[in-house]
Amino acid sequence: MLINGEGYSAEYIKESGTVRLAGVVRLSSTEEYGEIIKLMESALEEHQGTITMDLRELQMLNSSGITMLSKFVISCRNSNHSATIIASESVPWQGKSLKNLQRLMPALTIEMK
Amino acid sequence: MQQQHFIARQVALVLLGFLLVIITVGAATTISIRTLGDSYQRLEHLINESNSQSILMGDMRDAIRDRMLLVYDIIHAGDPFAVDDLVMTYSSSARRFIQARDQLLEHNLTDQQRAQIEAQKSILGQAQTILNEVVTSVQEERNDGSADRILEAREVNSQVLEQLGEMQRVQANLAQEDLAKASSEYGASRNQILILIFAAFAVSSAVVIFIVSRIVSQGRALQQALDALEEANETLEQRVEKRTNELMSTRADNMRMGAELDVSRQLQQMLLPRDEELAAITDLDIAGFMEPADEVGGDYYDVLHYHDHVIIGIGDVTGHGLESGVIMLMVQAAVRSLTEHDDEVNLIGALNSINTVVYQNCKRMGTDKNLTLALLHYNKGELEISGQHEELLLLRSGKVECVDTIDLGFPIGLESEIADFMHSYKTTLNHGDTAVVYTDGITEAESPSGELYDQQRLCTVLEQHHDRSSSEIVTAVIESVKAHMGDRPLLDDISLLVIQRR
Repeated sequence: MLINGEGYSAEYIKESGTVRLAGVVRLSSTEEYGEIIKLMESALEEHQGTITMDLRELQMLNSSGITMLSKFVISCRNSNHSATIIASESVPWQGKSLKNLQRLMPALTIEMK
Repeated sequence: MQQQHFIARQVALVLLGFLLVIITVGAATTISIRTLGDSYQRLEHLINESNSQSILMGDMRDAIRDRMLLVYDIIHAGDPFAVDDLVMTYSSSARRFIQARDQLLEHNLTDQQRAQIEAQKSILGQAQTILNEVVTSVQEERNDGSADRILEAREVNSQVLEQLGEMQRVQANLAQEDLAKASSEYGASRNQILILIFAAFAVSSAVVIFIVSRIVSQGRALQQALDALEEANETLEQRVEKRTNELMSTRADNMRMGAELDVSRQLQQMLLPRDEELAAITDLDIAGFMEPADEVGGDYYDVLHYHDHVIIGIGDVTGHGLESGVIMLMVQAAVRSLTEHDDEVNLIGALNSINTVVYQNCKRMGTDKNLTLALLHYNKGELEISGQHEELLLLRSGKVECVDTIDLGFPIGLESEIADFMHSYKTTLNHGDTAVVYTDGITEAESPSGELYDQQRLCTVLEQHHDRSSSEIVTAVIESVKAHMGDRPLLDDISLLVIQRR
């Protein structure tokens, strides 16, 4: 499953249970994030093992996007899915947000690459 | 107009069809009558010809017979005057014969018939000679074996009579053949007429069928065209209706969105601290700036002054529109009610309460929104900050100190309980020191090439203007951000608050 938006892409790789976000995402409301939310929820429904979120190429995510990611992590926590986030040290926004995600789900694994 | 043309064409076609039928039938009838007339004339001519030939041949035979009989009469007549009369009659019958033969020769005879007539001449001549001798001897009153001579002449004449009889039979046969031929021609003519009539009928039928089918098919085509037109009209009507609905709906949406944005913008602006309120704070020189994006975001800042306490709040609600404005209003009211009292100010307690209010109300509103929020408390040179937001920048002696707020709090309204994550940071604000808070609209402002303004640029500008007043620092930072953005539109609200201890 692949979504190609203006300046960003979202992909769900079924085999590895990986959700990959890339580019600059500045959608203005939760409604506009609907498609990506649906894509992420399908990962939760279909994949039994660890859910991986690959955010290395995600240059920018606005506050609505961070909310979406936070809600997804809460969903992983509530559905007892183990989850891993692969992030990049070179992307500035990720520091604070990843810490919050970790707080939402202490069992979340964060790999900085 | 189209329909009138169509009807005129149909009438013209029908008239043309009838004209064709009349011409075809008329032509067939004319040809048939002419052919029949010709056949009849030929038949009549043949019968006349045959009849007159038979009559002439009969005349010839009668003349020969009469002469034979007259010779007998002449022989047996006792009276010499009677003999003379009979001889005259005998001579006239010879003329009758020659006359009839000449007439017959003028007719349309076969070569064989002409040869026969030619051959008869010498035989007849022979008989004539004998009979003339018999008549002469009777006239001279000599009776020297006349009976024998007559028998001889009769023998010769009988040959001619037989030949003439034969010729008559042949003539009858020929006439019969001609008649059969004429009859067959007549039959052929009749067949021809039948064929012509049938052809005329077929042509007429074809013309009528063609015209009728043409009219029917044109009628059908017209009906189809009318149906298509009707359908197109219906489709057009539906499309117009749909488009109108869409436009109305879009217009309604736009109007609603516009109205929401207007309300949000007004909420945002009407809750900002007034200049005179800021000026009333003698210990601090505070300048603020807020510019909403086209689609107003959820930036919030406030400065509350109560006795010696100054409470500063800065936050950013996710998304935009009326919901963001309402949440902002909630936060502003909650901050004021939770901090403006005589008891000791408790920032962490206030933030926990605000989180509960926002979390519960967002749940009721059915919205996913949350906000980053930092609260600062200034009292007599002491500055405390709590809540997770952008970094607090402290400008001291021309240098910027960055205070990370990640560990001071958690997004407000995202989780029901955040007390575990709440901490506060305390510092002293000396005279001339400046504290700067801002929203991410500044650090995430994009240049035309998509490069973010980032915190580093902000710190540089602050350091360059460390000895300026708060409002001058605000102006310098905003000018720098605008210069970085170039002609890029504002993507998010930008807010900046500069607090300088006098």
